[in-house]
Amino acid sequence: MSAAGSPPVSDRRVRLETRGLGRRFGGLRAVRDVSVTIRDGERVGLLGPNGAGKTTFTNLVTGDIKPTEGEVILDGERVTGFAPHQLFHRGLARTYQVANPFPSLTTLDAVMIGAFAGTRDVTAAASAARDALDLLGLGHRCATEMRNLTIVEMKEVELARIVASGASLVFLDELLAGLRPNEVGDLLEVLDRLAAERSLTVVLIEHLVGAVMTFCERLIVMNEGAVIADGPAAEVAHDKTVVEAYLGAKWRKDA
Amino acid sequence: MLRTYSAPLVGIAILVVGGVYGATSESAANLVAMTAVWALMACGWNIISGYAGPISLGQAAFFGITAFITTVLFAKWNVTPYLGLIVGLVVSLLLATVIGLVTLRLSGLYFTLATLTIPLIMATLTRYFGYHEVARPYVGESLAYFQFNGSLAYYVVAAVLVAGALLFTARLEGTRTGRYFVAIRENERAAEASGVPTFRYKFVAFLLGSVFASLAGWVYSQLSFVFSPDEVYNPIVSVQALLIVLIGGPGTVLGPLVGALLVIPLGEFTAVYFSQLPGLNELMYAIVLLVVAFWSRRGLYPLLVGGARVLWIRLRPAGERPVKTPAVTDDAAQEGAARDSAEVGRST
Amino acid sequence: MVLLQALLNGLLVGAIWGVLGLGKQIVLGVIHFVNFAHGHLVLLAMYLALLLWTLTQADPFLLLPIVVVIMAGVGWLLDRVLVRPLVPRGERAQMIATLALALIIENLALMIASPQPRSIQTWWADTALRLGGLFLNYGQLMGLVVSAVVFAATWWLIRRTPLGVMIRATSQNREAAQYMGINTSRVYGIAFVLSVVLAGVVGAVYIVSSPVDPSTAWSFLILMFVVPVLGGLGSIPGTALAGVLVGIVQVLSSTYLDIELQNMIVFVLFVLFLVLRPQGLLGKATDQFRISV
Repeated sequence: MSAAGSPPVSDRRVRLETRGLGRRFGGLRAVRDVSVTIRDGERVGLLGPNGAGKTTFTNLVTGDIKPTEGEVILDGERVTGFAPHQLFHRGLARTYQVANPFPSLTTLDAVMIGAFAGTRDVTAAASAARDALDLLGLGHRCATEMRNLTIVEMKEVELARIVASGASLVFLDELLAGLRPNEVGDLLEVLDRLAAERSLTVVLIEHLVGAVMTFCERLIVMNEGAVIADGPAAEVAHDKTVVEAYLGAKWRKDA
Repeated sequence: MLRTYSAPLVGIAILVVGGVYGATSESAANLVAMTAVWALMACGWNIISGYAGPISLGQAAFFGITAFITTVLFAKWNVTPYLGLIVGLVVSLLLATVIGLVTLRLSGLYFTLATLTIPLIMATLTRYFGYHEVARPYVGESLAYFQFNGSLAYYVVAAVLVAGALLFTARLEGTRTGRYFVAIRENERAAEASGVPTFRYKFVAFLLGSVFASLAGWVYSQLSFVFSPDEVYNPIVSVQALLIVLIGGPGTVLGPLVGALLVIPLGEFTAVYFSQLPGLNELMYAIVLLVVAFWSRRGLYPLLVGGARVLWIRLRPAGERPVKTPAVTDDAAQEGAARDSAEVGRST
Repeated sequence: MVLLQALLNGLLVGAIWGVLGLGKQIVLGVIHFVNFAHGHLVLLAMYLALLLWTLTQADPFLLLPIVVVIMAGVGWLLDRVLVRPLVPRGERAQMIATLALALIIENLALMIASPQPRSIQTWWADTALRLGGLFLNYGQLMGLVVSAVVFAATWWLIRRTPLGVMIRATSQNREAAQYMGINTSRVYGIAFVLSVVLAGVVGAVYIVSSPVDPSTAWSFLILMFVVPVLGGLGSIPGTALAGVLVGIVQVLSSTYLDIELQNMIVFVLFVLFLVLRPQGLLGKATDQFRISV
């Protein structure tokens, strides 16, 4: 689903690189030796069964927790251990599994928080926020409190927040959770449009393989803290190790 | 412009009315002066905990230290309280810097506990160094030494400071800083991920709160003839600020003033008429607080406003009643809300 | 010799702080409920013991079981009325509501019992066993015995009984425990009542050797957190160790420095540990806080 005429992936600028990234919790290695490279404009799906370490890995990249091993390099700069707000100002944004982080703020207020990445001025931020909301078709919901939005609208507001900040590398943690099948398709279309218009590099963290296949050209699959597959979506989906991780060993020979 | 400042203007109007009432008698003046002092204290707490989030129970530290510094400088070295205030403010800010840098990295509960220990530590140190009860020297009516025969003048000073606090808070609400505070309070993690340097801004809020607590302590020390470490460094001082703000409406401009109006006069009233039952007023406030904690995180103020609105709707003639349009008709939204409350408890 | 006596006194005093910390551990580790009224519950128990002693003149250690039963009842009531509605509301709401409860208790105490310190007069507090050159105050010695028994009983409960398994499971993962058929609401209720009962034991023992007045509750509250943090959140032996450590620090401070400073030094230690070594002495450096050993 990438835009026609764009350069092949391998020629594109490297946005994010992790080298041997890992995290221990006491005796548990939640993330082990993960080395991935993400290039400009890619659409990557990060998959794996529950407990595979996807969210921990994301947390390591976005600065929510510090790694115990390895490095994170963003646009050529070593950002290992940087705080989330520092990464945000360098163009890296993420959403959280909790759909509604700011329930009592109005939609506009919530998006403005993101817009403040670019400016101190309240009026400028409000204007950027409104533009972002309009881009997502939510301009008419500016004054509604976040808690009164439908779940699809909440997710769109999250996207608006990211757009308003001018972020270019985006980690979306379980964006599709809690949506009905038709809503999933709709939201992915919105995301597709947004990614094309704003030249976003997107990493979708999900555990439902099918939903992600339509959007992502590349899949990274994790299991038990390590990467077990990384490549073009079609190939990875049929990889034996991946099938085994999701469904168990007895399905392996049928893959 | 008017919109931003409509709340503080109402506050100023209330303060003026208070002044008129205070002019009627010395006891009235004393009452309104005390109310103003507590409103000032509450404004400080409101900035840290009402707007930015972390619940600080250590405000008494700044209240007390300014009170002590001002009075001791006055009593021992004849330093005018105006200079005493400057010194007190500087010391408070230094203290707040140290405390803030150390404790703000702790999560909510432990931050609150750590701040609770600070005034207790300071009370102990104050007693240890020999200061038990201090009294401000009596010099009679003297503007140069910030001393007046009646309480009304103290009220005027305090009221001006409160007005300043209200205006400051209103202005703060409209800036990026104010909005960052609210985002931090709503969800610190998400705010951090949205580019808010949460530690830095919590620290700023903490310093601002300390300034107002310090100012309140300054007026208090000159208004009260005598005070002791146990009185000004008492956890109850910090808790009372919390009480006032939570009852009045945290995170709003007028909340501290409304709360102070509700809490202090009633306290004085019961102290006089029910003196054989010490603690009765506190008991009532605690019960109100309990109610507030259960039914409305926004304090009495929005409850009152909401209640007034309901009453207004009921009292209008039937034909004029607005048709209720629910904000959301989707049951998906309700599902979403239910899912959210399940999500909140989950750790990632 | 003075040092040895001080250390001994510290041990005797510290034992009861261990029980105090244990109660807080349980409510924090199992239910993850913030109870700012916990210190005032100790206060309540002290006044209860005082009341019973005033009425019956019976030996305070005989009154202990009665106080425990009453406190269990109070705990059960609070669980129904306060804890259950507040658990889903989050830390902030719990802090504020329990703070309100603390104020209610404190002011009721002020109103009913007056701000004057009151104490129990018994022979326990005034006589001591003489061992070599050391003195062991009987009251404190009994306190040590009671604490040791309570600790052992609680440890046995958590480690060796089916209920203990349920408690540990719920503490680690409430959802998973529910899937295994554990009635986690009931476990929460039991854990809370247990924490109140332990607070009651502390109060009933402490009143034997110290006077009570409404303002002491805040110190209890802080100590209640200090001990688990110092010992390591989630570690029961750590709590015992930390309790004794706190007791020793207190006694050493009052012997060699000034009696006024004893709590202050403990508080400073508390903040230092929170910032520099939050896992305490025996705790594990993990992100979650769960009851383990």
